[in-house]
Amino acid sequence: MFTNSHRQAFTLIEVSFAVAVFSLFAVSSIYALTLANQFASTSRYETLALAAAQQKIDQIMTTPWSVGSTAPAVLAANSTPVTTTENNLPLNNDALNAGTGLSSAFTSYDTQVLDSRTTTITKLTDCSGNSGTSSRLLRADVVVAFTYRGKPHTVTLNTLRGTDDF
Amino acid sequence: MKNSRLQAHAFTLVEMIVAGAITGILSAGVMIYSSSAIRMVTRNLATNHSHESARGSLERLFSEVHNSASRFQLINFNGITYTDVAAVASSDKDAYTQQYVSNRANGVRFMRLAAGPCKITGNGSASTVAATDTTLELDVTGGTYTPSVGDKLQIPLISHEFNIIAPAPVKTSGNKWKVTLSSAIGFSILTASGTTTSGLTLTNPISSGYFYQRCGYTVVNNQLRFHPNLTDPPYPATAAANDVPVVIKSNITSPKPFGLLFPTSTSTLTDATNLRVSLEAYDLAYSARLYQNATTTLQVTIPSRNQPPVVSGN
Repeated sequence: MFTNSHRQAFTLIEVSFAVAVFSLFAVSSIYALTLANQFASTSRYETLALAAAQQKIDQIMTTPWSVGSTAPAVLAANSTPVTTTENNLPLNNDALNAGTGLSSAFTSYDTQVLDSRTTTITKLTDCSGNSGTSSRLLRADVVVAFTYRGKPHTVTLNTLRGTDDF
Repeated sequence: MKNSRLQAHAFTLVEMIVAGAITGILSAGVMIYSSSAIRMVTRNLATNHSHESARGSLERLFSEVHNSASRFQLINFNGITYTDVAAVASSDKDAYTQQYVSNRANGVRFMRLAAGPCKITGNGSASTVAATDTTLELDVTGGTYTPSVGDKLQIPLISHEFNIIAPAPVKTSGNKWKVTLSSAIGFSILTASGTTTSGLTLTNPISSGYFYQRCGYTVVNNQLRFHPNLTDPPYPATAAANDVPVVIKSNITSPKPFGLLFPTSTSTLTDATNLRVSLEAYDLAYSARLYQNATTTLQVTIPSRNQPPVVSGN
């Protein structure tokens, strides 16, 4: 009779299996949460990178460029594309805000992530058939790249720009 | 025998202790896990809120500041009145533009297109406009614009702009407004079929003007505000009906986010057509201060798309 009641307990294998299932669930959940958190952070940084790219596009679109004058430096390109790279740009931090009267109680809670911005200006053949330096049409490609938690990320914007006049 | 069988079904002390210990360990694990999970989610939500504040602010700034028709003027706004701030180059170099940032301010003002083209229908008293007239009547049909003192009127036909001065504009009929200008027109303008002073006969001529209105952005009480009609200082204690500040976003913690750019640190002049914004946002409703939430700082330079500016003053 006692022997029968002992047989109703869990075996070592059963217990081990239950613990393994529970551990798997716990580890998966923690990993999923960590991953979701990382995705959210990355998404936020990509939005900031988009703003950095948009700033360059803005500069390209608003710099005065008359057909009768030499293209300004930011639009300069020859018959071959011209690429400019700016390194160590602050993506989510402004060190200049550390100055007196410019910081808040939360300024130091910011984490700095650096990025690089590459701009390529390519002259295209315009509607008058001009190409190379005499072209009145160009294409601009802006790529903002940053590394977060060991993984590279890029945001790309491009646009076409013509002269202000004809 | 019966008693012994009953005793065999009960748990022993050792079993209870072991079961209790296992339950305790598992409970502690679940508690730590739950606590960490909740903390991570909460911090993430708080950071998302601050990021959303910064991003939303930027989108709004882009939409308005891009369309500035004048140069930018920095202002200090205390919630009631504002004073202009002279921009002076500093040694702070902006990483993105490689230019030097001016002293910063908590506000900026500029002119934006408010209405136009609006047909010139006379001088407010008659359907004619003489060169010596200092009043004009314009039809602003097609919008909700109400002219006010401090606005500017630009007339492309004569390449002139005028300040609208007191007395306050009055509605003459329909959507027609009579405005008083800072100086005489200087040209006679035909508003109906007739012959010009140079002998040119015109049939149903249409001359038009564009109204520009001063607006601005300020950061006060952790709010980014848009002022649709920033009249001349001293700013009235009670905002005019057409100038109730609009709160764009809350949780903005940067005290002075606005600056202008100078080509060098010793420059004395800026073209004031590029506004540098360094906007810091933090979710102030986040309560678990032991575990710091992250701020979002969004720095961007927004150029006016009107270069050179459409109107001279700001």
